[in-house]
Amino acid sequence: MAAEVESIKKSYLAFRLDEEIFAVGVAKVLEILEMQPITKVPKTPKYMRGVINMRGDVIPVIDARLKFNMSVTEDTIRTVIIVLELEIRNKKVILGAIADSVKEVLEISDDEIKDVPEIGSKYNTEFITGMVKSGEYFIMLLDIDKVFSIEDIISVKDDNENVVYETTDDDQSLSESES
Amino acid sequence: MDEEYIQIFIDEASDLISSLEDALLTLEKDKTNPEMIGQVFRVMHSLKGAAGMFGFESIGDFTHGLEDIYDLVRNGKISINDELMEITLKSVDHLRDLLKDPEIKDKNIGKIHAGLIEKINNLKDIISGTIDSEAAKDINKEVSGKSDNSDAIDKAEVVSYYIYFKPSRDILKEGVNPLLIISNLCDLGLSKVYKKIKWVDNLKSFDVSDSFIEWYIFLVTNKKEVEIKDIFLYISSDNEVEISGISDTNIFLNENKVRKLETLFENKGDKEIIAEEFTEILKDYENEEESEESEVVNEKNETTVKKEIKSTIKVSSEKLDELMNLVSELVTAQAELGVLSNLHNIQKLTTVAENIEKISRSLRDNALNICLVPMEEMMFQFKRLVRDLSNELDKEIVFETEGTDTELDKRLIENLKEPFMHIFRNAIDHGIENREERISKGKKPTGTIKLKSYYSGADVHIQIIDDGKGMDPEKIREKGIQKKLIKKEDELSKKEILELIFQPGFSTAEVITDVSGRGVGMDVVRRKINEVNGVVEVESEINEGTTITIKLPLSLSIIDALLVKIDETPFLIPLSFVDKCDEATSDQIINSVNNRIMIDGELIPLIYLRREFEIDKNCPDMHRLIIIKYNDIRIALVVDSIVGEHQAVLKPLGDVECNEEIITSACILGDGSVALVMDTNKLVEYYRKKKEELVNCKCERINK
Repeated sequence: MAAEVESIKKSYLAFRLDEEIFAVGVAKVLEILEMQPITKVPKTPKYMRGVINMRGDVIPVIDARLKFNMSVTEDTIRTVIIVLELEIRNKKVILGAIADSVKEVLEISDDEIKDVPEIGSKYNTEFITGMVKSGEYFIMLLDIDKVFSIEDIISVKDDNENVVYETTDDDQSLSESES
Repeated sequence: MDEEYIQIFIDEASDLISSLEDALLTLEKDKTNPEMIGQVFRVMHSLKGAAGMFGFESIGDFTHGLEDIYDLVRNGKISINDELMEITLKSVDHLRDLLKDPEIKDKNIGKIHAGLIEKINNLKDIISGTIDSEAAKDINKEVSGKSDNSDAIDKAEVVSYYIYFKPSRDILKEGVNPLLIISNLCDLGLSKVYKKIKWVDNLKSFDVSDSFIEWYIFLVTNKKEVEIKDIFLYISSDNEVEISGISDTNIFLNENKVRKLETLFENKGDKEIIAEEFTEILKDYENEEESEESEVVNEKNETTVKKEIKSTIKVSSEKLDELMNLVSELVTAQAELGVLSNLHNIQKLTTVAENIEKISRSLRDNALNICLVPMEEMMFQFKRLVRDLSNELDKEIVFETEGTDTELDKRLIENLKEPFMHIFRNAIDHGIENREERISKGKKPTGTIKLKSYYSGADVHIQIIDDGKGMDPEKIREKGIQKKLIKKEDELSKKEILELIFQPGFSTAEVITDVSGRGVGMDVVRRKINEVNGVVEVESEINEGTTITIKLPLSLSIIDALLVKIDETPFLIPLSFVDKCDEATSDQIINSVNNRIMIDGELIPLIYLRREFEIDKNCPDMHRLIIIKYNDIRIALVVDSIVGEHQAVLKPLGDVECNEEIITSACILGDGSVALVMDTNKLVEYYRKKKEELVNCKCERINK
């Protein structure tokens, strides 16, 4: 009996960001696209890379590195867009997330998942449901709905607005003359 | 019974109820208008018939009572009074409820149902009491009704029709009783009905519930062809129905003919043969007639041609949506073809590509046009609202309309109902004063609410104008301060103060009435209108009235736009806003005084999009200016280059956060890349707001 319970495994897609490996449940992943030209939308937060055409539908693309406060790097041939279907505030949202590369699909059973150590974690533990040891790596399992939840986006938006003010200094002098 | 047929009935019945309401409202103003009385009666009759046929007995019975009363009205035995009007209008509302709940499961509806039936019966009793003295005469009439009828037909202008009716095999399974249709037909006038039964070739496949009968009906009537068609309205298109006018006189008068017809139908069995011989008989007949009164006939023919009503069909909106989707896809594919033909420069390919562009453009325009419906369609609801509310609040209000033939996208109209209702309620409740107040102000005792709509470029403007007391900017200001929407020391222009009414939670009504003033007013209106890319504006003069203007785009899904580029990013600017294009050097723009530039001898403000959008790579030496219209102001948008015109199929932008709504939607270009569609109005507003904030900021700094 015990053996049977153990064998219930879930599939996760593992991908690399910088030096870390993360994984999301495959149920959330619609498809994986190659890197393609992205139309930047003005007046959006930095981590919003823009929008792409996915077979006739326009979907937003987010740079996952920036979302996790990692440094920006050039796209490589292995850079991919993972198209995710999320549920944010009971609304279905489709968006693409840019990752450095995809690794593999892992079968992980629940009892392999270990709790996240509270102290010393670089990331907000709220987003990470658990960790799994795979070979010499630790893989962080993401609660992807929470990662892209609205509240989080708003906090980043505020930062961005400050940037807007700095860059429009010359405008200020112009409007001054008008006043 | 099949869901499909019930749905058809419900659609038709709602239309009937709406037209009934419309006719009643016209009738209320002109209580003796015989045409409208006839219309009301006819609609009730059709509704009753249809309801009976589809098993909506509650509706059938209910309408039956009303129909009886209006039959008396039609025959001039009673005249319409306010009480009758009130009951009838309430019944119309109730009929709508019944349509949703035909078995009267809801207790409230049940109560209303019983109440109204009682009222109708009371009314009938009273009426029959008052016309008691005439009753005897009436009964005589009723008894000899048939002969009267035929007399009338003999004298009046009659037309003979030939009707071929072959029900589909499944007609009985659909729950339709073909005999009922035949008897309804016979009610229209004098008739002869012949039937043929087509026997099954294979008894094994014989199903008792199939129909094998076909009818040939000759009808002499003074009714119009439309009314005959109405009888067949509720049966599906699988049934064969042919209606043709065969003569402008009563064919039954010619006994010879009648006998010929009889023998014809008794002997032959096949439709084709009958039709053949039949036309021959008819030809003989026409010849005779022509020799007799050829000129008269000709004249009559002409008039009937003119009277022909434009034939229309009903299409479900799902099918239209599907059509629009396909057209959108075609337009996108066509753009792709255009890119390919430019790339390869094969002459034949270019010709084909250009042709397809032309065709897809006119196909798009046509498809868009199909989805447009005149504003007229929603008017009767407002008429009703104005009538009911003005009665309730004891105010005298006239409702006027102008330009209701202006057409709008059907989906838009559906989205507009609720905000319009709100605006009307406000105008009636808060706007128009009551009679005494109006007289004391020296105004006309009757208030006016006017709905005016007209085209303006690619937009439709709809204005709701009342001549009521208007809004007091001071009161609104106080309220704004009280609700903490503005600060006491804020200096606002009148326009800005009026804008406050669109803020959530703002309501100036001192008394919360049943009608309005619950604080969920104009902000909902604005939100709803914004949802369909529209704009709401308000103007008001104290004691002169308030005008609410709603500006809407004609179409929601495809627009003509100008494709421009800033760096590598393609943008689309709706062509309807573009006034002209020009160019300028970088120096001119960066060193412009006060962000203004001289165009056609006029200094106009410019918006340097590179700066606004924070793009600073690859700045070119020469810039292009797109001069757009914002209300009446001209504003120059500075971009890098102009690519050309593009038919933009608008796609939602997905869940892209915080772009200040300047970019409203996206469009996929021929090469598969995504272009961003700019809302120039929002862009200008955003730019303005930002400037104001900056000025305020500066002032504060100086004050410190």
